[in-house]
Amino acid sequence: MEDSNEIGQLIAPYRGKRGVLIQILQEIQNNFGYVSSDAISAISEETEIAESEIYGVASFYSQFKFKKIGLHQIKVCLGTSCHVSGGESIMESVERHLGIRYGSTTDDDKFWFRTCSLHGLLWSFTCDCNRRNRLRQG
Amino acid sequence: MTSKIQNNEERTILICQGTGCISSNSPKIYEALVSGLNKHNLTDAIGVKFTGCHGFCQRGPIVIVEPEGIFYSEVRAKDAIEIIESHIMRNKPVERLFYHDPQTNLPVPYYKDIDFYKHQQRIVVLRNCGHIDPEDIDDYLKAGGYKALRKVLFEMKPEEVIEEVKNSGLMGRGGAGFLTGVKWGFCRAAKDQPKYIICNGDEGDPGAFMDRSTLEADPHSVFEGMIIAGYAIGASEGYIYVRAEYPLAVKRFRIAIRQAEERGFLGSNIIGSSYSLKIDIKEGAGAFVCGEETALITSIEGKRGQPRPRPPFPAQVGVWGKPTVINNVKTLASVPVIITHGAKWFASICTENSTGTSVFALTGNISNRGLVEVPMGTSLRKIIYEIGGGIPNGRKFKAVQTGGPSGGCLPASLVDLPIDFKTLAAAGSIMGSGGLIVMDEDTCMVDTAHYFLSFTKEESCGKCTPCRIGTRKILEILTRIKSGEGTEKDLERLEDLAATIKGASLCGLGQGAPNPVLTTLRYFRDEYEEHIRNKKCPALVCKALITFKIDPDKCIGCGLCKENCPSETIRGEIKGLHVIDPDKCMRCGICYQICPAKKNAVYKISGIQQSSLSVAVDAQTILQEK
Repeated sequence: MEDSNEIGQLIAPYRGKRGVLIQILQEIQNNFGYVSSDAISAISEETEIAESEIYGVASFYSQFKFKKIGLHQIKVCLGTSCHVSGGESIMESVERHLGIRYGSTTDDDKFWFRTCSLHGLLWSFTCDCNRRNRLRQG
Repeated sequence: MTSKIQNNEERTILICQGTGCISSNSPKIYEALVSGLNKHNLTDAIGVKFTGCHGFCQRGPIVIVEPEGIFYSEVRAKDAIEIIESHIMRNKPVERLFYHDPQTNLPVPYYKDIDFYKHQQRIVVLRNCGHIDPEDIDDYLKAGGYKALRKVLFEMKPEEVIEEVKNSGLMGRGGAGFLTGVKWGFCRAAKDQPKYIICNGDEGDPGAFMDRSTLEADPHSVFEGMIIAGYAIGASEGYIYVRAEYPLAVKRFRIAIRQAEERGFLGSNIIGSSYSLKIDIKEGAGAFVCGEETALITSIEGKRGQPRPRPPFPAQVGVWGKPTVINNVKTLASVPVIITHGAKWFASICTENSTGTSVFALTGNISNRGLVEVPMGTSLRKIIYEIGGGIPNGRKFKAVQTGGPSGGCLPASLVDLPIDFKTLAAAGSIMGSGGLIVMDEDTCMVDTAHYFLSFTKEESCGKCTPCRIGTRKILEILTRIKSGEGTEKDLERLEDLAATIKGASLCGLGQGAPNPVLTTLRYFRDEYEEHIRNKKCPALVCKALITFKIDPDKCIGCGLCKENCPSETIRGEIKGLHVIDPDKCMRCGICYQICPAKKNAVYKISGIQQSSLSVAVDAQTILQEK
């Protein structure tokens, strides 16, 4: 879907700077939603960093995706506060409802479901957990 | 209540726009207030401004009317017009929007009278949070901002700044508690050039959000601290490393950098002095280990964020191999205050062991969740009961987890412990970045240890074996115990493994990873034994060890449980008794959650279960009898 021209444009502001690989990967992901193998080849050509190294860096960080993800993203926080307030039951509810495990996308590419450890919004989910009937919507 | 009549001209309405309040639509309230004031031709007389986080997001969106300090909580956009027409125009504050004390249920109109704020001392890190507009440098300047920087650049030598910070006793607020002034001194003494100053905003502990709130609510105070630190060590470049998951913090930082550069607080020859500093933002990409300083450095260099052995310490060999100081957000935000008020003042807010204040993110099973700043040495009791408002729903306080995944769980018996770096370490936990998660009696400590180990196992970077394999092994044992398959020997194995991981891991992540296991074993060993010997989970959490049942005396046969049961386990007719088949039940707990609160007919039991056959026979009999 993306051509190397476009990638070249995204990389342009970073050319000649050091330590910018993660920023380049972030640009690619922000624009295309994921980092494809074509994109990795294109980055490698532009920056002269080996593809294996780029893949090594990208796979280290949980932010980067190598496959297209669903149209809607559903995240359930399992941070400590959410854990003690029943976050797992919400996760299981979503799993049952969508019929997929966390970390995957539904067959129709509509929903991508994952868990996260900290959304920095601990209060909002825990408040929801405390409302027992919330689960009915699951 | 009676309100002092205020002259409208001095009034300002403050609307919180921290991440929490924004997600509950506070920008709409802002618009509604502006258009409401417009409608009544009050725009010139009444100021409306937005602020950063007040740290009480649970009650958001928060609106405050100054100067009287009336505090409105959980405001909706439609309430804006009432605030204007009643409070502003007729001096009748809107009582229904007041905060209500969770214990007494009485309305508390004034900010300063709310227990959550009353018992805090927001004098260092959170001093401006919620009071200034984070996107307006003038607001920071009005609050006394950049005065400390001026003093440092024109009246103090770098060595004097280091001495002052040393004398204040300021310890790194990122968790390790190393003396900040000493760290700066090491870097100052290093010969190599250029030097770097880094602000560590890679807050990754599940349960912590104080750095995020500070970054969003008061970015300039972090800058000011950074520039002072840079001047002290002789840095010419700086980086702010913030998690990409904190987009608002990144946005506000970019605005703050631009404004600071325009006003000459950043860049070449800062405010006419001979000192120059350039600052860049680096966004993290979601790796917990990058909070560790050597891992953060490799991540800034654009590589896999893995730690390396120390020494050499970053103060000698840091980013790009040059001397580097890395300080936490809260450490840097404390620096301007130390310079302005003096080391003596800072050191006077203290216990024997630690000086200054500490900031906690108070969450979990507690009435008031939010950001808390208290002097070092404040007791857990004060934080949990006076500020936090105690444990909700009449439950009992069981434990508090401090310091995130590298910290430990302290039992209720330690509630009078004064908290500082040393006391927490002695109790087997750590101060960490300041997470404070309160747990009530419905929390299983084996499950809690399991939770933290699943986190560290996932986040282990894989570089050193003790951490990579050890956390996985501990997790396997904990999973076994949780499923009722643990043996007595497992406890010894846990202790053994924990000691190895603690002693042999490369960085703080591995060294701290066993702490949740060690502290729960130390304070809640009986709970582990109960899981192993009697196959019981006393807190009724571990699913393999509990059974859901319906109380025949309470069930009214509404059918909600049957309708929502995902595995078609529940039998019974409408208005008749419902029964759960334990063989098919997958223990999702939906029936338990959904049974109307007034009835509470579904309950959990733990321990040796009746054989499924006899349950089935029982169920048959009960159904027939009905």
